[in-house]
Parts: sequence; C-alpha cells; structure tokens
Amino acid sequence: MDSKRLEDLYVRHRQGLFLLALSITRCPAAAEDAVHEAFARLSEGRTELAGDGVAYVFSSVRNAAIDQVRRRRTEQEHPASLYNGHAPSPEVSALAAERDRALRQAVDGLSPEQQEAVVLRVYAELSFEQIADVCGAPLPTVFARYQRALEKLRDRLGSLK
Amino acid sequence: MNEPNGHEELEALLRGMSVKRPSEELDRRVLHPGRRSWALWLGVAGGLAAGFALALAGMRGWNAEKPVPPEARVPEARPEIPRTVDNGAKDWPASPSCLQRVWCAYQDAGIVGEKENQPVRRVDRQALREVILYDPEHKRTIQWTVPEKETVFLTAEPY
Repeated sequence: MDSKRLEDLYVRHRQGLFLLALSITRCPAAAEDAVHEAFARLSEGRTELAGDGVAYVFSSVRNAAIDQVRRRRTEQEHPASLYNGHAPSPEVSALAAERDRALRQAVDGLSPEQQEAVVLRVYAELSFEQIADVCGAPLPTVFARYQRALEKLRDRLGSLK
Repeated sequence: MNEPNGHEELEALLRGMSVKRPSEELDRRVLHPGRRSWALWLGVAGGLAAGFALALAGMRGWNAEKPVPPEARVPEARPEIPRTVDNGAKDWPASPSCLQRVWCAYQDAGIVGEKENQPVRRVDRQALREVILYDPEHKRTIQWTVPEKETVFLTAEPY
C-alpha cells in the first residue's frame, strides 16, 4: 500500500484515530498499540484503499482496538476517560468548570456505540456516511445513535441549570 | 445528514474540551517503524563506551587485582532460556498483569548470553521481528526491531 498516502492519513487523523481506539480500549497504551498495529497491517497489505481511504483506516483501527480488548480479556479496573482532568484555570468560572466536569462524565458514561458516534462525528469530524462505513451499520442507525447521545448529554447539562 | 441538527452549541462545547492526545512515541512508531528509540541507542553507545574503557584499563595494567583462578569462579546466575519460540500462541499476552520477558541469543554462535532482559509489552506473533518493550519506570513503550541473526525467546513471566 502507498506508504505516503498512509502517512498523510495518519497525520491528518491521528487525534481522531487515537480517540476512537481509546473509546474502545479505555486504556491509552492499548489505544496507541491498536493504532500502531492497524497501520503496520495496512502498510504490509496489498489492498488499495477505496475512495479517500479515511473510513477504511478508521475501520482498521476500530478492529485492532477490539482485538486489543479481546486479548486483554479482563475488564479495565479504572477505565480511562477520553478527556484530560485538568484543574480549572482561574479564568474559568466555577459554573463553566462544573459544566465541563459534568459533560466529561456524561460522555464517558454513554453506551459504547453512542460514544463511538460522538467521537467519530465531533472529534474525528467524519460524515455520517463515513461513520456508517466504519461501524458497519446502516446510516439511519448511526444518525439515530448520535442524536440520542447528544440528547442524553443535553439532558445532563440541563439538569445542572 | 450533515445539515444543522439543533445540537451545534453542544457540539461546539464538546470540541472545546481538552481531550487526551496520542504521544510522540506513537508518531515515531507509525511514521518511522524501523528506527530504534534514542534510549536504546544511548544504551548501546553507553555499553560500548564502558567496554572500551574497561579494555583500555586492562591493557594499561590498571586492574591490579589478581586474576581469579577458574576453579574459584562462581558461575553467574542466569535465567533459564526457554528452548521453544512461543510464536503461535493465541490471545497473547495472557493478561495485562502477565507481561512477557524476552531474551536474545545469537543463532550462529550458540547461546552466548542474554541481551536486554526487559519486560515486553507486545510481540508481532507472525514474524517475531518487532518487539515492543515496556519501560515501567517512564511508563512508555520502546520499539525494537530484532536483528536478522538473532532469535527471540519468550516466556510468560509477570514483572
């Protein structure tokens, strides 16, 4: 496979790919292993990437992350959050800090499918068509998952007011 | 489907939050897979420098100690080197708490000694050519490509 093209895809999407793997493995080291493993496999493979290759690469990382979880077998004792837990800076109001904390918890508490949809849409900036390809699910299903996830998050934020 | 969905404000909030980022080590592993990490090179260079200094000291007679007669030498404790290469194991490693250790030996000269004896995080099972060592002190992984003339022996051993 064209290594230059793979490099470009990695550089453009590394953040989204890592977060996708992290949302599945809940462990940063395993997430990095999954991304690395997927790219190692892709660079050895002879299949040409279809279209722009974005959905294919995300799909490969998703599969590698699922493999990581299967290999580990045991549940993560302390599943890692997708977010950094920085202490709020002085400029951030107490209300905003509380809102961010609630949002972090709410995203981490979404079902795996909903969290995946949020990560792929918000952080990886994929279209719903691409997300459907990555997850191997029908487009309306993916769209509904995303809508439900955001409604849940909105409810959670609404309860703070 | 990419039209406004009524959640734009919430999406903007989510985008503004501080997400975890992949490490530079991952960039190196993906973009420069054949390159050893600087820490390994530093270790190799340090070992060579120490060996050279010892050889120099020996040549100049700085080592004043009497040589130990062979019969008085105590054999060094060596970990037992497994005789099989575990490259067919499924679901390997068994669990995160049971990471592996790796030994290398030179094939063409018999087993001449262990090389780095470090905990291993993951090994490419098919080829046993690429080993990901885990450095627990710095909590990061180091990629190491096994040289052509060496064989990797694996054993399950928690660290």
